Amino acid sequence: MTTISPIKIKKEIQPKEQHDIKKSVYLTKQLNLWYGDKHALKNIDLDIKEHEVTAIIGPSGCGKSTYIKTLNRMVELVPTVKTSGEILYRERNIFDSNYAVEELRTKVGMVFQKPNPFPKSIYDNVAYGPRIHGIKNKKILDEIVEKSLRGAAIWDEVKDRLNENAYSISGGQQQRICIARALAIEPDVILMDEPTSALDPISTLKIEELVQELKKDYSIIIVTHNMQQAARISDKTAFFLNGEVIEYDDTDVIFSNPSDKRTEDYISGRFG
Amino acid sequence: MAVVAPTSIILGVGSAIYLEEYAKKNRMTSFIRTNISNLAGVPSVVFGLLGLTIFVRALSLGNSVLAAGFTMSLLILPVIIVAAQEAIRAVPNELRDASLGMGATKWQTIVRIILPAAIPGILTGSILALSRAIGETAPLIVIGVPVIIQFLPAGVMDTFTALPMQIYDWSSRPQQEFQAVAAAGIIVLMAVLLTMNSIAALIRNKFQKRY
Ligand SMILES: Nc1ncnc2c1ncn2[C@@H]1O[C@H](COP(=O)(O)OP(=O)(O)O)[C@@H](O)[C@H]1O
Ligand SMILES: [Mg+2]
Repeated sequence: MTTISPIKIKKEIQPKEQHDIKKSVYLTKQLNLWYGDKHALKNIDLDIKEHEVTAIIGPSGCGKSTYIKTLNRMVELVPTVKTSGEILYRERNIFDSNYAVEELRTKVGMVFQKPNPFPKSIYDNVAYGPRIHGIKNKKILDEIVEKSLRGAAIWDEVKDRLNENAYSISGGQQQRICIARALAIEPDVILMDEPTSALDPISTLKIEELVQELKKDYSIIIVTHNMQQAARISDKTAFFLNGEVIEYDDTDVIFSNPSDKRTEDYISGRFG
Repeated sequence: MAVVAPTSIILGVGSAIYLEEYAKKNRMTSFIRTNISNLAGVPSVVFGLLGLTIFVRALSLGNSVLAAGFTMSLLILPVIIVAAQEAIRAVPNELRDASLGMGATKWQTIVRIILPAAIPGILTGSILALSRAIGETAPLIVIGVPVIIQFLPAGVMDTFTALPMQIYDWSSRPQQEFQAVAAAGIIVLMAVLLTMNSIAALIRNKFQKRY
């Protein structure tokens, strides 16, 4: 018998076990993406499971935002973008010519780096999604708004000021309004691109707790350049470097026993 | 005014939406963009000649309210397009992203998010442009609008005149009474202009950047 290090064993067994219980939400196969001539994503293969928090870490400019914006095809708003490869969302290739982006984005909500509420009332912000999808009934809208605001853990703070402009509340509260707005369309997946980077520590903590709550009902993919945050809140972590996935594994493995030297250097703060 | 305002605002905002949100950014569209700004600086007499050729002669509208209204719309259209383009461009991309990211179509995003956010800028620009139209006379002289009329025009096909021309005519007459009428005309013109410009300023202040 040769000696196998405990890390290796864990790596070989765990993915197999999880395959049986958890389904994939996103299966990325050989994804490449170019901004004009710039090759921003290189041969990405990732299997993202449902009801998990998947963190994407890496130094800035490594393609984290590009990758999650590809998951809901927002990246195509940049006219020079070209892609190759496949991303299967619930077994369907999102690049299929007959896959309407609006349909995909109704299933996949997004929360951005900087809180970006609409210059409307808190109520109208949260009701925006249901309204564009044709819900007019005031009673139903009221219910969705309350449910979404509760889901985003901000109902108690804003229930008496639903008609105030969303810019009248703090940045941390605005970000939770944005989360509520995303919840209102009852998505399946929530993409978050550094959602706390513009927030103070207390608001950050609230969002982190919220993410833990939300993963019961949603699959969450979160970009962060704060490694403690990734370690605290995620189940899986993917480490990106120069447009490539260097390592993708359970978060505790990545942070305690990374198998790639570059991952180790990054998480121990040697670069980035 | 009843002709100029709707024509120029609808066409102007429509063109601005197309240029900012739909048109691809290539040589052709940047050429068009630059030239719209250039048009805004073309002397008004030239627009008068254009109006004379197109509306008065080719479409045989004669020297009516309609012909003059269309001519004036042409004159201020570039100004409105530029103002609307700027207002639309000032709407942060984050808002577009937020809306598109929820599965809204481009059109829903324009109607529900971009236009409401851009309307203060569009209105301010339009009102300032319209108040320029009120004071303009050169294009009207060119299309052959009579300098003075004694009766109110009854419909859009009637001949008419513009206030500044009336004033000019009145004030150059020898009789005392006309001096007084001219003065009254000037006050009316001033009051209208000041009111429009203050409305523009009010709108601008009320809706000052909320994002
Ligand atoms: N719109 C764009 N046009 C051209 N290059 C871009 C664009 N957006 C991002 N890039 C490039 O793609 C790379 C990845 O960017 P990004 O995904 O934003 O990185 P991250 O989010 O990890 O900081 C960077 O080198 C960046 O310069
Ligand atoms: Mg980024």
